[in-house]
Amino acid sequence: MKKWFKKNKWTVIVSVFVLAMLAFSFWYGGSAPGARGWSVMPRNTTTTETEAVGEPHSSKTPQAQTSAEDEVPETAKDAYLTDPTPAGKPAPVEPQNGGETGAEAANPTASAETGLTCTISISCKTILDNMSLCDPAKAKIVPEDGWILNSTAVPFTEGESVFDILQRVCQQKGIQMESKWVPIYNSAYIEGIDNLYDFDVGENSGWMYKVNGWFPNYGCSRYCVKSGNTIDFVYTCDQGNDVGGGSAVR
Amino acid sequence: MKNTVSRQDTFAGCHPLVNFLFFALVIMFSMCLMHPVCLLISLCSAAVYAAKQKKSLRFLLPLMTLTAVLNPLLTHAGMTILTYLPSGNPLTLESIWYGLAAAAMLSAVVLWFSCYNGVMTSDKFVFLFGRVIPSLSLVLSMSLRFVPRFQAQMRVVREAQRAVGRETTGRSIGALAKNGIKIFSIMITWSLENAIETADSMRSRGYGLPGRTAFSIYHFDRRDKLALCCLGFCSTYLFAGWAAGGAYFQYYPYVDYGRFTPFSASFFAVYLLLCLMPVLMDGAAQRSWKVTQAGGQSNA
Repeated sequence: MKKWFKKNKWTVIVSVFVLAMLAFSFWYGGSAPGARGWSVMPRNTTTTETEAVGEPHSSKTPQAQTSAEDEVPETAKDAYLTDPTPAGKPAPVEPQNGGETGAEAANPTASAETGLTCTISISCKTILDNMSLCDPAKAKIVPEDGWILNSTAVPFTEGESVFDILQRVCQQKGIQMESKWVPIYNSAYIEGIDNLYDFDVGENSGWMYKVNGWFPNYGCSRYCVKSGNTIDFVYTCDQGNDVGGGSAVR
Repeated sequence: MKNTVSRQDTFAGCHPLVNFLFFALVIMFSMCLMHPVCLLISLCSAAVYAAKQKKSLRFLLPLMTLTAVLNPLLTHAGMTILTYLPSGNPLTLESIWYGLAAAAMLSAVVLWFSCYNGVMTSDKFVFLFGRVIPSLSLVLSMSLRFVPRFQAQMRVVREAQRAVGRETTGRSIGALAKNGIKIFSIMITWSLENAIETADSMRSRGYGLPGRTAFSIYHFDRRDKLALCCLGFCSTYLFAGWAAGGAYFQYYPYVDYGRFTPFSASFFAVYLLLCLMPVLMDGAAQRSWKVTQAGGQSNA
């Protein structure tokens, strides 16, 4: 036994060291019980989720299936890994087709005469409840009331997507916004708005969007805006459960 | 002035432990302390020491430019928006500052590593770690020696090929490629065979066996003790000062830094002392050498 230990001393020491390093990084990364993980329970916000805001989506009725003019079978995902949209909700419009008209009339002054307007707001209220998880460097730049952009009416042109509108509004208002094109979802991914990035407030945090109170299950470049729509970008600290969009994130 | 022409580096003559510890500390601090003053200290000291070792500094400029230009193109965080890139993402002032800092950090670390290669020869490395991690230290020293040896052997093989009439220049591309592949194949065979031979040779000498002793010419003398104390003091002070926020500097989302206090000044002074240690030791040795020379001449 003693001889064995003498022979394999360094093997033992190195393996113990490696294990200690792994355990430390596991704990430091926030995956340890108590910090965040292992107690993942759907909060009761899921019940008050989208029903409170508008049309109740009793989704899978056959009558609703015919109204959605998509011919994809109900259970199948489309080419960009998106589940079928619930009944009564707009199906995704690929930016390559829908964006054509928007691209040619990109200047918002021309769109003023079309009379199409929508409302957009950007909020990070959930961070205020999760300040302990917030990256200390970012804690000072969180707005005190949680509003990065109050509800604002913006003119737009036919065929513009939610992403186009967000990008234009942010550029006009001087709000920092970083996005990344993700080909497999055929959409832009909003990494950060106003320097608040995904994963800045715990590992379940990031930006989500809802239109008329519904969190679409596809990217914001594929949502074709209609006049009168209300777009809300919200920051979630808990996979969407704290803003009522947990069902859109799976 | 004959004595100043080609003289051994004083720091390189120290005990391997001092050398290794110095480079480990300096490279770690260079990577971790992103305060512009710290970066400047590290970069300048590394450049001075590398210049003393007659290392080329020219390759650093494209490296630094590339890093400084790429960062603002890839990172868009920051509160100060200067303009918008064609991708629709903002170009921010903070990302430019961070790009410059990263360029300085990267080139400082590269310079320190090139100095390390000049000072920590493979025998020093094996002396330090041959007992603790025999196989790994042998593999490391072999792989560190591999590139220069490969180049030297390649030159030999090319000359031999030319001598037997296989010119490497002034022929058609097909013939050149064929010849190049032949040389490459020779080199691969040679390096594999060489590695096995080295391993066999070391095994036959009982390398890594318990109770094996090794000859070494390294003595831990008073000067090394002094240098080790200096290293210990500097690293303790820097670690403590770092923990106390002496080198606090934030790039994103906005540039923020601690006030310039006597404490932070002392932090930078100690960091400068640590980084300039080899140069200072060299200067001191050179001066004492000159003093003895002058004394000897006056006596004679």
